[in-house]
Amino acid sequence: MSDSGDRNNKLLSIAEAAKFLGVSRSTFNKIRQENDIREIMVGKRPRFFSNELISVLSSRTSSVDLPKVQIRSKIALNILSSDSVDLLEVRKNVFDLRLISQIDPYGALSLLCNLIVRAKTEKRIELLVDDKHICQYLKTIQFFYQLEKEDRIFWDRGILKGASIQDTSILMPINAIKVKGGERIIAENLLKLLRQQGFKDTVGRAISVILGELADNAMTHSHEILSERVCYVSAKRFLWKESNCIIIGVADPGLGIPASLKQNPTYSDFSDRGALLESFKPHVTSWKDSPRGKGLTDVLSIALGNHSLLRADTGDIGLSMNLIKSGDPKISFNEPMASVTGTRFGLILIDTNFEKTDRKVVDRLISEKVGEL
Amino acid sequence: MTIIKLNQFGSVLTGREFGADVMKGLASSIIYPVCLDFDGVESIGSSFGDEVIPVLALKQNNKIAVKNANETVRSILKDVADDAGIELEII
Repeated sequence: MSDSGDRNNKLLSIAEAAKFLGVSRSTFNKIRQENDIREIMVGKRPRFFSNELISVLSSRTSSVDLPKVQIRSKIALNILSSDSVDLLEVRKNVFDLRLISQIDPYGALSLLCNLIVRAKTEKRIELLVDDKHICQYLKTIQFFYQLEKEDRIFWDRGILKGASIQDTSILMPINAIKVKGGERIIAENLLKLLRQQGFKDTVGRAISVILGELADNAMTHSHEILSERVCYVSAKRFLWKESNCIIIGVADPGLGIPASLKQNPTYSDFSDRGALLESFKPHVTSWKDSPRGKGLTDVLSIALGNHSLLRADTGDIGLSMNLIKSGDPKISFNEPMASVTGTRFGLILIDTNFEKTDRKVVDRLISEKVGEL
Repeated sequence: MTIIKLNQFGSVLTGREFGADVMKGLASSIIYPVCLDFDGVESIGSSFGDEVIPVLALKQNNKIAVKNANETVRSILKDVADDAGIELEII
């Protein structure tokens, strides 16, 4: 997150920071000593970014009493944001969903997978909810429904009883695909819906290819770490840069791309970042001596042709591809929205007629980036 | 020429295992040469295509004819054909 780009990210004095965290000034000074908190000097006085204080809070568990006041800084969990779901963890294993200001399918699936994976190892995870818009929205897209199967995740269901919203931007609530082939039925239904809503066939068809390939990959690899195959998908429409767009999220809590790819001896020496990037090249697959490895190439070919934006998180790696400017794709690594096993994809497609980019271009682009690592 | 209507398997054809299953189902009853009819097929994935197109083409001099394929389908079919080194005839 840029320092100035978030209205909620304020510069605070020592007194304000202490109040913000709900601790005394002396306690706050102790926190400063124990944590590497960035200080901005304004004149001779240090100032602190409120969002960074929340990060400190989420990593602290015992040395200082935790704040009892509600933290008001808001967290954006959408594909255009660099916020992390960690910022919601106001206390160990306590996630305050009331802090979310914006969320899209990519953010919702990142949060969902984070909670599901955490629940495999933690005894109890609590979610703080209210009856306001975001929690209502999460209920409407079946976020809580997917969590109901997790017996270690708790929230006040009474608050959300009856809460739901009419939101025509929701194209597809969160669906859990548990059998291979389930993605095709979902893709067919989504395609029909997009057509009804006036989206161009090119876009609807591209999305069905993306959904099919990503979900098929996820279903192939998710059971390598879990006892069952599962893949979550969701989609929403929105306006972005004055264009009608669709954002689609596909996630699985499985092994993750790098670990999976490195099962193939050809890629066993790759770094995790290198393996993630390499997986987008044609014919790169975790299967030895196999003609596989085209799904992610096709996804990137479509994203490049559509001049859109693609994010892929796996483990503690975040990969962002900004393909908006023709001939000037920007590919960078950053913090993932959720640092958990498995893979989360977020893709924006703009409603326009387009052709997917040639695979050779994808191959060249990724080869260059891998070479830079 | 035998026309195989692929929309009998759905309008979105993706997934390698599904492609292999479709091919297995077709294999027992095919009379070559064949032409694939994509009428009613909205999209196809490379993984599905890999399991069907080259297998059929192998039985007819590495050539395959397709008809009623939309742009999205054609684009993927071309990639599949390029990879497999087969000739794609679009009718």
